[in-house]
Amino acid sequence: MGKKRLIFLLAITMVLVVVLSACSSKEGSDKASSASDTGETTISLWVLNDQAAYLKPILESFQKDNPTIHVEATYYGTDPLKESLKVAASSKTLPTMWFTWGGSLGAFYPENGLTMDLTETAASHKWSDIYNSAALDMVKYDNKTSGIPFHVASLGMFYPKELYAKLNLNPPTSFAEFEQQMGKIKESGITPLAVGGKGGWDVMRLTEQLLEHFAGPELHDKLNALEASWADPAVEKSFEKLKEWSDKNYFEKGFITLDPLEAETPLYQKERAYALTGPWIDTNISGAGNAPDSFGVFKFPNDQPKVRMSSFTEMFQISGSADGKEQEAAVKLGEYITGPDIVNKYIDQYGAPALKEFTFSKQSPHTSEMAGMIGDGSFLISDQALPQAVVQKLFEAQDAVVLGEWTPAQAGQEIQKAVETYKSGN
Amino acid sequence: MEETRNSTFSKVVNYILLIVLAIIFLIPILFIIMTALKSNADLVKNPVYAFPEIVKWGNFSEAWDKMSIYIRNSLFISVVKVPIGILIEALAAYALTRMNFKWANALFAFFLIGMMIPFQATLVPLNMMLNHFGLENTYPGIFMVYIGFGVPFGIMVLRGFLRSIPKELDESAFIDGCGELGKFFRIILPIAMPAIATLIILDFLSTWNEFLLAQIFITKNSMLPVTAGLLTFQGQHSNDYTLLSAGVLISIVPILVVYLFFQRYFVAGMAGAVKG
Repeated sequence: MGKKRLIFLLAITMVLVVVLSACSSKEGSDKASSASDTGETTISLWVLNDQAAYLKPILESFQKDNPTIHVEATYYGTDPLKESLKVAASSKTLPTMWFTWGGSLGAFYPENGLTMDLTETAASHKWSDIYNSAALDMVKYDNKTSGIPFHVASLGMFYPKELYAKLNLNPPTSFAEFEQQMGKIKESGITPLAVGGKGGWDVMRLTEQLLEHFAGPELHDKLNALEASWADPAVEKSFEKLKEWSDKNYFEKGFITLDPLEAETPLYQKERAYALTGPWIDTNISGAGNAPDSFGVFKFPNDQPKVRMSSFTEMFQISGSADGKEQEAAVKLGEYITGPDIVNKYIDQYGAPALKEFTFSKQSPHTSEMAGMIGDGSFLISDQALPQAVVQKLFEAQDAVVLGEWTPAQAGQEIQKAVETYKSGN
Repeated sequence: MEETRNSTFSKVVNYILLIVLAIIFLIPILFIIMTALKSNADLVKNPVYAFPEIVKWGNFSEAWDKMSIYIRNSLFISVVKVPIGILIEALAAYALTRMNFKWANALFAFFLIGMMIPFQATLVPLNMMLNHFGLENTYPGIFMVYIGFGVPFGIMVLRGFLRSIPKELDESAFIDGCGELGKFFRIILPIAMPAIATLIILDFLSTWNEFLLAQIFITKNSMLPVTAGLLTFQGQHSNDYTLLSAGVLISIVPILVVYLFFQRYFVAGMAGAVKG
């Protein structure tokens, strides 16, 4: 009886597979032929999960306005998107358009001839009248525009106003005052900095401001451009300070393995004093049941005459191998998503747009405040400014210094070795 | 008398150890359950091990709304892929153990190579192949990849088990008029049920939890599996831990059902993997 049942189950399964597989294949071929018959253009778009909340209705309205363009969007987590793009790039299966970050993260695609050159489009569509100049600069590689600017964000020190009032503090105006405040906050029993070391990028935000403080803007820019040696004493001092803050327990115990998003959570309940982050924190503060304006923000006091903030851009790139019709449709979609009408309509969820002018969201008061703070200039965030091989060594150096495995001087030397290896390979 | 006292003492120690281990394993699950029942504000405001201020059952329905399509996809993938994979593995193990051909051991070693190649190294060529044959974004494409990666382990387990079945059974079946397929389906397969049940559990678990291959080879949201669905609760700048926890709890139900259904065979089946 048992064996008969088993054979029957296996037979049923095989039949199911054949039928369902045939259905699946037929659906795909039907769709492809209908598209070519009706003159429709189908473009594939890869974006992030947390953009779905506003991109889904935007894509619906785009397709309603452009009935001959069909958009197939895929929503990814941050790391899966990076992974999928790299595999697709290597196997020549990139989508028509994709979201990516600026600097060296996005540079991989134009460097390898995988993106559409948008320089002429930018000129003829007068992008300089639409997008802010910093955003346009940050999407250029070899003086060619390689992406449609989407977001531009800068990083500031966020603090809970209530905690500051309780400790009788004001936003610091110098590096020394900032350090004094951290000492006072620690004495009061509160860990000053909300930092998570997992992935390296959260600690990097502090490291790069320490570099700006000790090296100054000129040397810092040269370090990022690989035109100065990372074995410089200013780099050593930056790592020394990082180690000092870690030893003084200005970070949470075990922070080096902590997820940055988890590390930030105690800040919302005033159990941390600072987080070096962007205006998107307003959404997280609201989600935790607090008013975003109960938090203040100041520029990291790096003691430079012009206090620069760390900034980065996000953009849409278009496949260079897509056919002309698809590229045209993708440009239309990219300009639609990033244009003033759509941005203003969805500004509460949109984040910090790359536009010259837009309506600020009441739900994110720090977006407008930080837009005003960037007047003294900005530098490109390190994980976009440096080649990825060097970025990984920088992350390794941070961890090794904090854990006492490398001396601060050794950290600089190791990064310099990675720079030389990178240069010799290019 | 002394022996009985020793035996009772060792039993008590064993039970205490097992209870402590069970608590260690259950604590994270308890945290997930409590997180799934909290609001975001409650989670941030109160310690992670605190009971919810107000029990928020709605998290489960909200998580289900987002995840139901992915759960359906994963069920489809697992229910189709697991039996086909095991059938192929059983046929291969049968041939390797009972058909007495010259290169059986060499062929077995060849199959095992599949377990030694890191699948990350195969992503690009596989993506190119699937694209070339028009199998990207199709279930047959993903079945082939999954089955390919699962076959070596399945053959290893089943080969071990099938070798322990006496050859005399084959001879009797042959005398009674069974051909090779008859022997396989009527004699060997029913006897190998413990090993097959074990493989069903392990294969279902690995298929259900698989993420990287599906994420690379399926780019249509409507076809993605449950592991990708869970990622919808994680963003670049924030994570929705309450819905994520509710989603995780929903997603483990099918695995529990499969395990409970086949677990009585589990240990007996695993023994096959280590037999000569």
